[in-house]
Amino acid sequence: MKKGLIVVIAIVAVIAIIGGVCVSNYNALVTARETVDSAEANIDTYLQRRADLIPNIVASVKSFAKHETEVYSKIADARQKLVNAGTVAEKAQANSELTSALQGLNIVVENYPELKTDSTYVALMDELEGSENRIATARKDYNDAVKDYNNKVIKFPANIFAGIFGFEKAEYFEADDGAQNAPDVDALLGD
Amino acid sequence: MIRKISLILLIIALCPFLLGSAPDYTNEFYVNDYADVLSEDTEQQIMNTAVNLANETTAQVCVLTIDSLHGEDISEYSVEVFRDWGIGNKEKDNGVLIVLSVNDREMWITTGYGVEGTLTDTRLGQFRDTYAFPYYSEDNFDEGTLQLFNAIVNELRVQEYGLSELENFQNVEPDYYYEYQGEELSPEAFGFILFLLCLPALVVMIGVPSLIIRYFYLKRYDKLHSTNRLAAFMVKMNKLKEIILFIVLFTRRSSRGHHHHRGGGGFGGGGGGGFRGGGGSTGGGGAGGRF
Repeated sequence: MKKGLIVVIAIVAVIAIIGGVCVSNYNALVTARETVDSAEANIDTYLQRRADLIPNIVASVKSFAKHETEVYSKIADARQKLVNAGTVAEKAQANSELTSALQGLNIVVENYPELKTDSTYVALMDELEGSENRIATARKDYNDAVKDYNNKVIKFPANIFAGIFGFEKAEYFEADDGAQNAPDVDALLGD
Repeated sequence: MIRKISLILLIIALCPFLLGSAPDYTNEFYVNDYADVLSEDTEQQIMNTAVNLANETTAQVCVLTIDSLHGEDISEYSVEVFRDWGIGNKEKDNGVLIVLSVNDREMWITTGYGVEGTLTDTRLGQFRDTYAFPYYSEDNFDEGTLQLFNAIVNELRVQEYGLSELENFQNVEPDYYYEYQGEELSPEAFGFILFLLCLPALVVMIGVPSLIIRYFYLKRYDKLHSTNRLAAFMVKMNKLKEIILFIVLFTRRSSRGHHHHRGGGGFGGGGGGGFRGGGGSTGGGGAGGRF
């Protein structure tokens, strides 16, 4: 009788401990995943903000330089690609391609000094730069969150629960090196 | 032994300097003139204005001047310092940080999430061009910083908080406004997440004792009315269900309430022991540039 009670309590205690470990590991994974998701949402907001600015910027440059159609269509394509991007990797790639495309615009602007002091253009460029900095900050926060989450997913003992509950590693927000770096003009000209 | 311990302590003490590049804020908190380009008078004026603003609104506007960024990007550096110091109220994120790197000839203004709507990148760009760069380009860092600081505080006072304009400050109206029309960042579903996290713990906390209680009661009922065993068990389980429901509803409501009624606390300006940040954060908004 007494013995039976002790056995039952012992079993309950073991179940409680296992349950506790299970719950805390699961919760840690959920929290980490949640952080990653909200960080990704932040990036999306700022990418959208950047994409929304592009037509305005192109329009303000166009009013000074009408004939640079090749530059404009390249920017429009890159912007469209960013808007349509689905995965994190695609977004990162499209974002850095848009950066490269916008460099073409800077070259155009160099030829129009009055554009550089135009208040609309200056304001739009400040907004663009602000968006880019917000993206940089959001991207850093996101990658930190992914690192933390991925560590949890692959490390013992959480990896067991990650397997059971179907938590998979998250992607970093990273573009290919080639697209990220602007072409080095000096090197191309053999300076 | 003592030598070893003191060595370890020394390493621990040095850690903050080795790890991050963000400098410590001074006792004044609002004025951090590490490049030594501000006059005594300007520092005093900034200090008075900033303390008044903080007392009236909890918003914090800080100035940091440094000699060099050592190759770091000024906007990233600013975000780092901003978050490290926790400028602005923790709930309102209403901090602003002006960073001037003298040798790099770069300036950057970083805004907390909460004041991005008033101090838009465009507006800050106008302040930069109107108040800071005309002086900075002539190496008058003292006047440029004071004017820029006053412009930002004035904008916050009037546009964000509906207070009086700063005395001795001539506001210049902007000639162009860019209004961002996209969606704002939604607040995190803090309360709901808290509830989700609590749920499994609640189940364990309530479930295990109930199992033990059930065991004892069933033993006793077994002896007395072995035929009514199932009925008695059902009664117990129903009561338990009510208790769990009550607790779940209670935690849900209280965690949501917590989310809505944040505010208060967190602000750390004033007092005798120097000033400090209220724990505000930034998403990297702001404007600046090279002069």
